[in-house]
Amino acid sequence: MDYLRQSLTDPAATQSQTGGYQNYLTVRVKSLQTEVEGLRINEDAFTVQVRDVSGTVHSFRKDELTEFEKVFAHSLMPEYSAALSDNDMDDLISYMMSLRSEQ
Amino acid sequence: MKRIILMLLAGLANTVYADVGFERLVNAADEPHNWLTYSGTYRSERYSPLSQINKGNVADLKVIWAYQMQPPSIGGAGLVETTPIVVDGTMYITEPPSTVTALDARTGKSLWSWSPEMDEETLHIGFPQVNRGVAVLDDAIYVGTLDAHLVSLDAASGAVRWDVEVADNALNYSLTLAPLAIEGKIIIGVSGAEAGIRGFIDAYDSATGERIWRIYTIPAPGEPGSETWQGDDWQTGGGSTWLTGSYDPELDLLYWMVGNPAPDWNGDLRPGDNLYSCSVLALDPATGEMKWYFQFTPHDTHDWDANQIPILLDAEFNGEDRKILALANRNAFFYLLDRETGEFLHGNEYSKQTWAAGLDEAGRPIVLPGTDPTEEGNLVWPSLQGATNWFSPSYNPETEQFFVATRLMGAVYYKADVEYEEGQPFLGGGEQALRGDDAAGAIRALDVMTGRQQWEFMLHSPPWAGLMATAGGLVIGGSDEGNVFALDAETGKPLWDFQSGAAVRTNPMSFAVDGKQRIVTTAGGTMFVFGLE
Repeated sequence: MDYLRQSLTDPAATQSQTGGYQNYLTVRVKSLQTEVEGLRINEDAFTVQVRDVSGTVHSFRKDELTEFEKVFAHSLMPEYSAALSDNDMDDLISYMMSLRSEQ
Repeated sequence: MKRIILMLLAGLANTVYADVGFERLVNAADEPHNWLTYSGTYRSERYSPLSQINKGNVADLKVIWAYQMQPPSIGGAGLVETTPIVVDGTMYITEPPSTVTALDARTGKSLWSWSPEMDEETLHIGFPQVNRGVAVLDDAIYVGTLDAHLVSLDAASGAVRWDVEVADNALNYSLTLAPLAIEGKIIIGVSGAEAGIRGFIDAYDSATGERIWRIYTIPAPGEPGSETWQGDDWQTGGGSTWLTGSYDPELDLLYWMVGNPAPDWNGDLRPGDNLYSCSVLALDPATGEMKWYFQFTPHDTHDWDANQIPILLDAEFNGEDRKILALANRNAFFYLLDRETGEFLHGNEYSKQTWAAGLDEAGRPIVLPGTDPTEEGNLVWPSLQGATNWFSPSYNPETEQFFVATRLMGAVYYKADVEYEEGQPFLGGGEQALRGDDAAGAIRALDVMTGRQQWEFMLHSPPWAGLMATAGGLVIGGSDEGNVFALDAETGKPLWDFQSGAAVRTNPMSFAVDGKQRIVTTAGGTMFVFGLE
């Protein structure tokens, strides 16, 4: 429950501060044609694939990028602490916990 | 150039079967359309003098043919770490765990295949079910097997000529390396230190399979070096010899590398320098007598064995012509030794390390306090997989550049109690490596005489693939993310890359057939042969 609450009020807190395995690493990439911020889906020495907040997947060759930044301790998900009252937050967390499947 | 063209034309011969006498192996560099030993030549440079594929045209490189390896015959998939041998149009490879296959080097079509019958319970504690390749001598192919047999096969048919048990696999002895063929002898080493074997190097008669000599890497009481062990620790002292050595025919000396002491991470259980673990041995190939040794990491407690490829080169060092052995060690230091005497000439850090203040005048590491594994865990660079590992470096003798695939990764090392039990893990601890974006890889070019870094090309993660430099000004490599690539040897700039779809875990090599140069590497279970046409 605490994890759910933290994910809603401070989503970046669950992201690694420096590195390690990054399932939801935010990257910012810029080429001469475009600029994208999104989640890194995959990466190798020559390419990187990024999903932006609309769900669109972008694929880049690194030698075409003018900027490539890995943004640690950052989440693309907005913080909801200001958008929801305490009661609404409790209701939302209760609802989310009710979705847990029986194991 | 004329010489190179003639060499390429030599590859026009129809497919014939091996007839590779010792003199051809000694002069392997004179027939670069072939690849006659694991590292290309006895000097282990992993350098191709072919230049048909070069900086000007490598961008046009494409797959000519591919060979998909057969599923392993015993439990689970093995990694593919083979380096092909190519002899006059025929390619000989190994497939995990211990299959040998002959292919038409022109098309990739199979000519014959041989697999040993092996128990499903074959031990391989501390290493995957791998095989790094075969050796060729005269008209025979030689392979070591996971269950610790050395086998001679007829090069034309794959028929077994002889099969000897080198050691008892029930104790975790295993053969994963490509044998080294010299005049009338097959040299072999063993894996298994993670179960407390006592390592050795063997020589066998190439014609009969009779063992000619054995030298143990861990001395028994009374033998030189035994003063670096206490009690019965030597009996389970490790010192595996699981990577192919190098050979100097003029000095008539073999150079063979020795692995970590056992147990790996709990040095309290084996006080002393633990000779000859983590060393290079210079051996008389006639008798196995040790002429000299050099220990890179005395009393190792991080599993930084010395099973890396020793490259032999002749160069002027401090104004004097020297016969040199160059090695980038798993412990993150680069070394130059005089290979006639074992004298330490030079050493420097080539990758991040946090365990030593440097090397003293004799090349012994100045170990920093508090860097041994602990029960609580201790963060040290490099990780147990090392700053580099078994995969090959490369040396371009024309430019005196040493290329090494480097792992930039630390680990938290743990120490634990352990008691020896036959055929069981004998580790004394473990590690938790830093992974993901906390680790990376780099291809680095060093000035071989100074160890100074000339350039680096960064990889997304620490690599498990070796390198090959060519006379075309290229450095060929691979990544764990499936990239196969060619770098400009002068600058490190990438000139070509190919996404293979699986991790590259082997060493590249090159040959020519029909007058056309080919570059070979394996990714996952598929071997790719690249060319211009």
